[in-house]
Amino acid sequence: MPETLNLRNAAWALTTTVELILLIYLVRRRFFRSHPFFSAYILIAILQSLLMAGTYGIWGFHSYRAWLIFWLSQLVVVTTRFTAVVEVTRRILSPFSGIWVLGRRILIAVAACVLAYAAALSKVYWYRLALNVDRGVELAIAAVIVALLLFARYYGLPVNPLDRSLCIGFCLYSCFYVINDSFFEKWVNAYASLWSFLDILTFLASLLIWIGAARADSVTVPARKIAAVSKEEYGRLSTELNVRLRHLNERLDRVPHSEDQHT
Amino acid sequence: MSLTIILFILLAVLLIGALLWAARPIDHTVLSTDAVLTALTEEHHYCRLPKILQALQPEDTAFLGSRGFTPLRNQIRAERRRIALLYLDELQREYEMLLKASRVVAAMAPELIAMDEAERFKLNLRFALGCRYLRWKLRLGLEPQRAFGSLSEMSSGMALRLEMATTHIGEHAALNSDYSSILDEGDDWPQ
Repeated sequence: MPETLNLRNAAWALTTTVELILLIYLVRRRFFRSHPFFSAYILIAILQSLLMAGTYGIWGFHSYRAWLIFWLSQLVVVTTRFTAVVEVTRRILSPFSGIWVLGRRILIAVAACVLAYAAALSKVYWYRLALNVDRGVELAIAAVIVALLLFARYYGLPVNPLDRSLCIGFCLYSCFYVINDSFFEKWVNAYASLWSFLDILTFLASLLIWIGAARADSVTVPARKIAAVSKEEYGRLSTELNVRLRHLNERLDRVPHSEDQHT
Repeated sequence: MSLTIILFILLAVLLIGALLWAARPIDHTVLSTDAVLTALTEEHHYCRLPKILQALQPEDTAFLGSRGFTPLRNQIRAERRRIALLYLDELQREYEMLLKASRVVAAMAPELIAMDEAERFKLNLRFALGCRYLRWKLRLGLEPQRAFGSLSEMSSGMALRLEMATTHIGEHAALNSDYSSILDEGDDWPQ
């Protein structure tokens, strides 16, 4: 057990350092302007680490106060993470207003369904309430991201590398969090230290993905445009499409009659 | 381990799998406006449907059997089935192109979307399944007339939706005097 604790503390310190490096990248490359909620999320994650280090130092790892402070701070962190996911979603879909309206509805429905699924499956014990809510929200975040990427893929929407990496990092972390929580629910006592250690490791992996993307990406890289056409070209397209489609429909109208004649 | 835990873990693993599939870089061979127009002006295959249907009718080649040319009749029927399969490939390609064109139109509609996207998605699935079903029917030598008719209807439905969408976009373009500002929104897209 002490080995696990030492390892966990080392991983924790490493994660906080990596968080700081990511924050520095976000500030230096001015990503905090394009991704304010994501930047706020990283800042809040760092503050949570500092808060918990102080809390565990004063009251110990297994105290009720530490438990309460952890879950309250976790509520803030998860809420900020959710807003960061919404931010990425908006960045990918909102340039296409028509698609954005539909996509928003679908993603809200996906999140609601997953939350309902998680609520239906979770056991109603007060001491597991925080864990169950957290797991449900993480599952919803993962499902929303997957649905978003599928949606973007279906419409061939451009997703810049940083946003794609944010999606991958958030989703992987959420999925591993759900798996980790599920094991924790089963072996709550024997698994506590390892649960915390694995949680830190998965978050560290996500941080490294984000740092890689932040290093490679730059705000000066122009966005890839999809079907951005000039006014004249667009007008020509619109008229031509109508003419051709009308012609196409006229031909289609004749198909059933021809079929009748032949059969 | 309880079923609940297994279900949670299973869903998380499925999501990871879906993420790995969905996060692959998108092939950005986006259709240009000219490509969309070319696709729509190409010769349409579903107008040849009556001929294909007639060729697949058993009565069309029955006289060969009654006159003692059974091997020839079977050979002709096999050839016609092969041609019908080729026709089906082209029909599917045409439908997919139409679908691509409608997605381009949907992405270009900045303020309104006339198509019922969900229905289009459903139609797309139905079309893909219909094509597969029809291929198997043809390979097994069964009569596919009814299924062919159904696929043709789907193509027709898609064309109608496209027309609705483009009509609305056209109306919007006519009403909006500063239309270029909408199209130039691409410059403000996220970096």
